[in-house]
Parts: sequence; structure tokens; C-alpha cells
Amino acid sequence: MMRLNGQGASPFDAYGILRFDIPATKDAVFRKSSASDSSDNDEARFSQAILQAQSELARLEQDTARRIGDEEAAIFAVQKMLAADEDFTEGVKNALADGKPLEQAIKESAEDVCRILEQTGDEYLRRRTGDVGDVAARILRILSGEGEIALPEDTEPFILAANDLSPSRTALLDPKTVLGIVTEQGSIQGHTAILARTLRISAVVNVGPIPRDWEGRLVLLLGETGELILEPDEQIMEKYRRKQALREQQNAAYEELRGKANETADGHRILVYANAASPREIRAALDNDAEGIGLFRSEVLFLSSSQPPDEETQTAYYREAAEILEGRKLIIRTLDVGADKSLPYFHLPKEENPALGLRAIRFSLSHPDIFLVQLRAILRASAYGNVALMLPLIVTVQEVKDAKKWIAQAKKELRSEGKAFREDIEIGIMIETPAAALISADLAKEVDFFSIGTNDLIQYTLAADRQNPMLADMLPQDHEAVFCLLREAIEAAHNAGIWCGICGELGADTALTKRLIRMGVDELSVVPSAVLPLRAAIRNTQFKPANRPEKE
Amino acid sequence: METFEYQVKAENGIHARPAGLLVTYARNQPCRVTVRCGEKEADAKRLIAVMGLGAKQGDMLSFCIEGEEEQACRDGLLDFCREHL
Repeated sequence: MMRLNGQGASPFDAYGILRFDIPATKDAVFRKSSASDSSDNDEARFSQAILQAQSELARLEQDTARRIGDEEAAIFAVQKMLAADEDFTEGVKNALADGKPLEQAIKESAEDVCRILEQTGDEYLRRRTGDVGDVAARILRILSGEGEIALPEDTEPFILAANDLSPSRTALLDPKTVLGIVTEQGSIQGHTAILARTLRISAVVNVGPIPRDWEGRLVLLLGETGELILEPDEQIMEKYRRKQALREQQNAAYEELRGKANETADGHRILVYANAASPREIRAALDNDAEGIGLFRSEVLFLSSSQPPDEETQTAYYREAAEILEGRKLIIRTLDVGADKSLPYFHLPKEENPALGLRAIRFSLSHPDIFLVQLRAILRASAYGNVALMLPLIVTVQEVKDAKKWIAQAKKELRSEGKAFREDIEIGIMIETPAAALISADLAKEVDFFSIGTNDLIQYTLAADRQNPMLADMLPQDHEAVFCLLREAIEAAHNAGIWCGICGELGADTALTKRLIRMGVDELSVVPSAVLPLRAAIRNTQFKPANRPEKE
Repeated sequence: METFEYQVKAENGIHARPAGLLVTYARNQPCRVTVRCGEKEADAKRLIAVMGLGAKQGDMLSFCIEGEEEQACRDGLLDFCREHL
């Protein structure tokens, strides 16, 4: 038994025969074509090859759209355009005019185009250089007279091994026969990994050289831990079989829960929302059957730009989010940045302790011009959906009162400008500091809801940096002190007649669900993939232990 | 000559797919279209050039339209940006 370690690129496992991909060798292409037509015909041959490449790519696009999906098919539409792009074709014509052989002209022009993409510094665009190479290889192959290359043919399902796979090759994958993919190079953000995740097959990348004598032998591919194991022993196989069985059971169980209520066995209702930072994540949340968005992070708009996003941009963004939800709640958290998350257009003095510094609500209240713009945008978006507003890192009642003054100001301005918004928009605060939890009775009088940010709350309560790997195993997330603070906040909320939810990772921990429900938590907002498992845990719990279920 | 500015909303900026859509749209217009992002400029009918702008979410694009039916082209392009970028 031997093992290779790489990076898990798709969270599935596979067991089967390993087969190596048959690569296209560019050398073979060069050798063949040097004996072909005279250079007078080069431009004509090139134009003809482009047309043929485009027709192949059009077919690939259609075929992939049918078998796999539109997103994956789109890459071939782009490749089709790349084939005829003037920067590429003119480069080739110029090189031909310089007397270079056609195949060399193509290679060089493709490299020039790749350089343009590399220079953008954008990770995604740099990866597109693979597509440029793919198109160039296709054109060269057409010129050499070789037919379309197929993947190893085998009716028996197998695990595909390769140095790396280009988009064209992965498009030919039939998930019925390819159980998994393992590449010697590649990245988990690459096309292969993305396709594997979409097709829900195992993938591991970057394992390094795979011995050629593994061809035809049984291997186990573990997509989470990133391992390729040759002829695994019985102990490992037993573990794998048990995991597969469990996984199948779980998936079937979760699918059964779609559309079912988030209520305990004795009928107590909890709201299960999801956390999101973009429209795409909201769609993922809805795909996972979330009832709403309990935390919509607004930072992405502010961090990715060279100037503060203006009101129109923000309004459009929040509005789009609200509309996707079609009436389900969208709780937008106001800006939660500070000196540690660098806003490029601000020159904030460096802080010793950014986590304890001028961030979140403190930042907003010190920069009312920015705060007011965001508040106006959130209010305007509230005309298009079920929008609520949430203030982060609250520590004093005064902060809440000041924020509410700005909200009132924003409303007044919008009213006089005749811009629509929801007058009775819900205003809530995050309870993420011990201070807030301890004065929650006073805070509860000022707001419409609490959302407990357990990630930061635990960090501040245990005086432990949650990003510090040295502390990872030392300090329990479910420390009693944390539960004391949770209890304070929940009771204070209910005494004041408002609801209290949790938007931190603790909410998704199904080992704690029973305890949290019995403490009276009204809402849990979790990462989309945790929604259904959480529903299972909720439905499996008794709210009042004294109750016995009717059946059994 | 018509111009307008547009701030990129799309999460991935002008990546391959939106670039492809923009270029396809621009090619169907009778006018000449130039896009500027920061210091870089590109002919909107050339795919590599548009991708080479490396426009990210939040970046401001400046469009310059010249030639036939400028006004209609400008309006069409602006609508296009709103929908796809």
C-alpha cells in the first residue's frame, strides 16, 4: 500500500481502477506539420483552422450545456471567441510576415496573449491562460491533421489520473464512467476542481508525480483529506465503506427534510436562516432551504473598491439581495470594518489591537458621512423586500441611541426627497461582547431584536484569538461563561418582548442545538450547508422534556 | 461622441464570461466603443483587450462611444452594463 498527498479539491471519495490520461504531445504536432504545405498558404491554413476550431468549440459548448450545465459550457463560448480574437490573430499574422513558421507564430502569439492576462494580476484571469493554451493546442492539432482526442475509453468506471486537465478534456468527462480525478499539478480553484464539485465526483490535485506503474491498479481517492492511496488495506477500506454508507444515509435524510418545518418534535418553532455576503451566497442559502438571511455582510462592497461605494451602488446591491429573497427576511449588518481590514481610501492610524479598536459601529459613528450613505441605501432597499438592519459590536446604550439618531436623519431626508422606504424597518444589534450581554436588559429597550455573534463573543469572553492555531484545542467553544452570557441576552430580550437569535458558528453545532433551543433561542442563522442538518437536529429535539411524543 | 461611467457590480469583475457578453454586444453595434478602466484602455470589440483591463468589482469603467447612432448605442450599452456587469 502506498500513499500520495495532495490537496482535496472536491469533498467526495472514490474507489476504483486508476487510468492515466493520454496526453496530446505538442512535440508530435510540430514534427508532423513541418512536412506540410508551403508558407504561402499559411494565412489561409490558419484562417481555416480557426473556423474549424470554432465549430468544434460550438459543438462542445452545446454538448457540455446538455450534459453538465450552462456555467461549464460558457467556458467554450469564451474559447470560441478567443480563437478569433484580433490580438491573437494579428499577432500570428505579424509573426508570419516576419517569416516565422505558422506553428511557431501561433505559439508565440498565444504566449503574448497569456502575458496580457497575467499582467492584470487577477487570479481568475490568470487562470484563463489555460484556456488560451487550450485553444492554441486545438488549432495546432487541427493543423497537424490529428482527430479530436478522446479520453481513455473504458466501459468500466475508473479514476482518471493526469498531470493536469484542460477544460476541453474535463468537458469530455462522463460522470457515469469517471469516478474521480487526480492530478499531479493544479489548484483547488482550477477548472478541474470546480467541475468535479459540480459533477459531485471526487478530486484531488497537486499530488506530485504519480508512478506510471499504478496504471490499471485499484486506488482509493479521498477528496476531503487530499489522499491517493494505492491498494488500500482492509482497515482503510472498512473505514471508507462505513463513511460511504453513512453519507448516503445522511444525504437521503436531509433531502427528505426539504420543505419541512423547523420545529421541534413537540411543535416548537425556530427560525433557521443563513449567513451570506453576496447574491450568489443568498441563492445557495435558498437552495439549501433557508427561511431567510440572518446576517448579510456588507463589507465586500467597501473592501473591493478604490473609493467608498456610493448610495446608488449600495442601494442596487441591497435591493438585488432583497428581491432574490422574494419576501423572506434580509438582515443587513452595517459596515464591520476597521484598521485591520484595510479600506484603501482611508488612512487610519495603525492600531496595536485592531480587534479591540476603532471598528464596526465605532467606525461608523466616527464617520457619519459614510454611515449615513449606508443607512440611506439600506432604507431605500427596504422598499423592495423584507429588509431589517443590524448594528455590529455594540457596547453601550449611547451607541444605539446615536445610531438611531442617524437612522432617523436618513429617514427624514428620504421622506423629503420622496424616496420610498419601510417606515417600521426592524432595527437590531449584534450581541458580540461580554459588555453587551451583561447590559442586555437596557439594550433590549432600545431595539427590535438581538443577534448573538458567538464567534467574537467567545473570543472576547475567553480572551482568546480565534484565529490563533496554537489555541485551537485548548479552549472549549462551549465554555460555561459563554452560556451564561447567552442566557442573559435571551432572557433580557424576552423580558422586553423582542426576539433573540444567533448568527455565529455555535448555532450550527448540532451537538448544542438541544441546549440552545431549550434556552429559548428564537432564530439560528448558519452557513447554508448547515441548514438541513440543523433542521434534522431541531426536529429530533424536545423543547419541553416533560412532553412525550404522541406516537411510540 | 457619447460617454458614460459605470461602476462594476459583478462579484467577479469583468471575468471571461461577462467580457465575452460585452464584446459580443459591442460587436453588434455600428459605433466604435472604447472602455477605460484606471489607466488601461481597450477596444470593447476585442475580447483579450477587455479581459486585459482586469476590471474588478467596484472599479469605475469609462465608456466612450463614437460613430453612427451614438445615442442609441450609449443607452443600449448602459442597459447592458446594468444587467450583466
